[in-house]
Amino acid sequence: MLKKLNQLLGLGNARNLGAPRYVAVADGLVVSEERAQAWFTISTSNTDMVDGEMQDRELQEVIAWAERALADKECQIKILWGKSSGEDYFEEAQDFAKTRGGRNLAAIRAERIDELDLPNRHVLMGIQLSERRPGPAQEALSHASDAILGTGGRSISKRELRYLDTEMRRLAQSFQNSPLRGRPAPVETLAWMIGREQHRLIAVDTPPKEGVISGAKLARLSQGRVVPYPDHLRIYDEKGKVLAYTSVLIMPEFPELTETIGAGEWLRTLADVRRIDEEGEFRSVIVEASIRFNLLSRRESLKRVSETRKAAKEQRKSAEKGSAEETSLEIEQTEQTMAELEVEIKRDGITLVEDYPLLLVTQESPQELDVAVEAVIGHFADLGITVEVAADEQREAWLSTLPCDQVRIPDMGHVRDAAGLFGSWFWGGSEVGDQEGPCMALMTGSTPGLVRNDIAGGSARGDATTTAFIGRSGRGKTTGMILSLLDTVAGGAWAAMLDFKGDCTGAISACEYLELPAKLMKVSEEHSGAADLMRILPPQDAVLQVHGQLMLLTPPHMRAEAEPALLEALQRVAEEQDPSTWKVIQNLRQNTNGFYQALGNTLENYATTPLGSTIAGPPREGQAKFTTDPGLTVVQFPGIDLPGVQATPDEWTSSQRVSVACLRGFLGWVTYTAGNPELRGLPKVVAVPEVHLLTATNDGRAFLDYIARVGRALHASLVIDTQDPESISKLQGLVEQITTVFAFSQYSKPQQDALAELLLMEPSAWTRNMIRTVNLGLDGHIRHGHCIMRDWRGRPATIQFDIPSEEIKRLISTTPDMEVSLEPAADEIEPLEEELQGALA
Amino acid sequence: MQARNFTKAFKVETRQHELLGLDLGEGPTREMLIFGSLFLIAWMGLLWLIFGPPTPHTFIFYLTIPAIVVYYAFQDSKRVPRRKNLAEWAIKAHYQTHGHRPIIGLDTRRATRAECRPLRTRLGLATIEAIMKPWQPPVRPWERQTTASEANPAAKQPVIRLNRHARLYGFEYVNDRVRKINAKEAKPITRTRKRS
Repeated sequence: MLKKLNQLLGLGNARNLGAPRYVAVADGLVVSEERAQAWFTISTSNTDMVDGEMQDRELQEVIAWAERALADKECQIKILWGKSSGEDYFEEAQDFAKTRGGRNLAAIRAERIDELDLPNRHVLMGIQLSERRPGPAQEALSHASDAILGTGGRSISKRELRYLDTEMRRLAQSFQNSPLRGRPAPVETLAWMIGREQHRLIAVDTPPKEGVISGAKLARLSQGRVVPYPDHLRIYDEKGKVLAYTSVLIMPEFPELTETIGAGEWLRTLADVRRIDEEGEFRSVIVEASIRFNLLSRRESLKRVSETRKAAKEQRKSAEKGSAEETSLEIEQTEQTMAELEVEIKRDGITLVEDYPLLLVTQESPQELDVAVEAVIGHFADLGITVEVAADEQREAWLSTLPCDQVRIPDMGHVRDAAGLFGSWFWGGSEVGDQEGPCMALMTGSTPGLVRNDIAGGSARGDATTTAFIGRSGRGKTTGMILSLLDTVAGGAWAAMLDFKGDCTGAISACEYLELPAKLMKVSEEHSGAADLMRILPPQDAVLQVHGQLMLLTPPHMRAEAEPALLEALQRVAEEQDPSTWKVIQNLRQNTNGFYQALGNTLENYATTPLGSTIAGPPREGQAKFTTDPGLTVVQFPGIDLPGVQATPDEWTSSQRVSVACLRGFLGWVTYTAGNPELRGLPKVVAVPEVHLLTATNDGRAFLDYIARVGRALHASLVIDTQDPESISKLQGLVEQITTVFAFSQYSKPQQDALAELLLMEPSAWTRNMIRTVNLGLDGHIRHGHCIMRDWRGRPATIQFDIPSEEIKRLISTTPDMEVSLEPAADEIEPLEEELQGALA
Repeated sequence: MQARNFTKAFKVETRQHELLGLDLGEGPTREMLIFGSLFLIAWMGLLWLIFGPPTPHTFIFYLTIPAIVVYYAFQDSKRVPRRKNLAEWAIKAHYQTHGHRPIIGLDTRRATRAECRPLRTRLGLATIEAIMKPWQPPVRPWERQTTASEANPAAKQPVIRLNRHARLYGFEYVNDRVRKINAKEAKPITRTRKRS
């Protein structure tokens, strides 16, 4: 009687059933006493930065796949949030930050990750494989044997497990090739999914035997006490303390028609729910979801549609006979809709989905829970969706969100077309960067998370090796570049930064603070002979390069005669001990030949100028010179005066000639280090901020082209930063080699279009607007370090460069009013060490 | 691309336009009609058993009350308009019988009575008591607090009040009591046991 009444009211009969009793958990499998499910993790698709057309195409592919693979199967989507853990990051960092300084940086970053408390989305899909409910006789027998033998009844035969595994793998094959890119969920993830529901996060410390968790370990995972209150559940720990307050929400009403881009993306927007805290600041609310769904087969869909149409028709006829004369407009519309739907199902093959969505909100106190629930209701009201607390049915609602359970609140189901469910874009969001490697930024799209990218990683994956930071001045390009360089140096790479602007001293201070090897070289008399190629390179290799440099310094009228004279002097000095360019000049001066002496004197005059002294000046005792050891070297060029591309060498002024000779010295050193076969295993990075200064010269262009093209073979990466993407886009050789782009805002249309093309996006009004506003906050303030990143896979997403600590922020700041001295950095190493040891202990 | 939700279209609220040759006009919903007749029969049967057949004076109790109940039961719920009030009442009743039971180790064992929220709190009797005492100032939302007792259901039980008094007894009284007790203990104790 009660059952009939429940059915009449649409309340169903599953409300009183007990919780699922898990029997085994294995890779991609959760088995309870009643049913077995295959579980898959679903990769995030980058939808935030994709235009509508591409999004529609992907959605259609997913629907087509689901119609094939999921028809008539009971499925469940679970959207869960984990936390990015600093401890895990630090442990992982042992693989990529091998140096002492690297570990320091990783420890600071780990602390920052914990401080940020970033949620991390996991989307899982479960598909029912089989019903395991035993027959009544079998059940009675099993219960009796359990009672007598005390076996507990929670077991599964190896044969059955093997069968389920085969079934799961069959589904996995289809999942793997689908646009959802589903993979069998690892057993650890599934254990986490079950344990976290009751906040019993016992880590699966020992690897599960034969990949299966069962018995006592599984029982431990499902331990816990959950007390249902009318509007929430309280989850208790062993000592009776409340661990969490969870509220399960139902979604009774959806708009009848929505666009799949925008309001229709109701599951993708879960990360957008915000509440206002006591300080008036917006904080994100963690909302989890469980959607049980079933793609109705064509036959089932037609049956339901036909039944509804007939009922509506019967109502119309019956009303016509009586005094009512006509039925309500609602019934008439239903009849019409069903008739149309019938045709659509038959002709267009439209698929209907029946689904039961539930949302879960968890907080630490009832007050916070109230605020969070209000925020969720408000958020969905904006999308036209009614959300309500499942009052007095929290127990049923919560149990039905568990894997291997069933629909317990059948009257809150929905029937939609496949676009209605899949258009919710539960797998949409942002995804950029690598799965491992150093983390230097955070994703700011609809799915928050860490961005991991190694600028020196291109060569290892057999890809091109150029990274470009592009955008307007003062938006955080150089800071982003320095942060990336710190990570690379922390991994034991050799890095050189050609600092034409002179604002990258902070990179050195930060390296010293972190105990990473670093050197600052200024082109001045102070560093006389520091970039002397005769001293840096093997003398025989250096002869021709130094010859070219000295020829540049030679006045035009002496050149014809100077060429053999210089070569002769160079050869002579190269055979001596401790050769240097200064010695070559002295050799010329000491020659008995008058021309040689004149040439030597002229060259000596150039060599004593600030620019010339670095490449040809007298070497100073004990001073640092360019090396090929791992670490960062920042080279600054105050007063450098490079000629334009149009000017021929004959038109160059003497200052330009010295500048070019000086630049050739540095580029020669970089090229030698990058191309040295002995250093092939060492990752090498050449960073050039304000690269347009270099692209304006033939030498610079040739150099960039060389490094970009041969970078992969030599394990050398190029990092450039520019304000002028249009000029970069004309250097085809360079553009072809760009793997990763960090795009900051640009205001003029040609630059925006050039940047869009570098981001592999179609230049359109939408892209232009996005590029213009990427550095603007909601209230119009400038968001430094916020940019669009396009990774080597071609996926774009908005990210925020994150400086791991205030101290590093102060040190690497490139704003002009910040005077950073190198001195205090050395003193600060001690306290940092103590702090880190404390943090690690 | 557009997404369509057919939930409302699939829900046809069928009405009965005529019954046994009687034209009902717009007609009541069939759910209401079925439930209403069942409830009416049950209600009338109950009253018949207790008070006997209806008289012209008492007929109103036999008919009006079920009619009012059925009318309200089939109004759309204010909170969830997709449900009727009756469904909401059934869910409320279900919470009292099953829905409040703590889930211990995913129902590996049934919760004991002490672990459940007591009936008084479940039914919200405290609120009813407060309504019954109009002279007491009502509790405003900002005065409402989640106390530790609410977090711990065991602490919600009535407070045990200790009422200790010291009394001075004289020697005579004590000796007299001791003598009486000794005399009582000297008697053999006989107990009858029920035979099973």
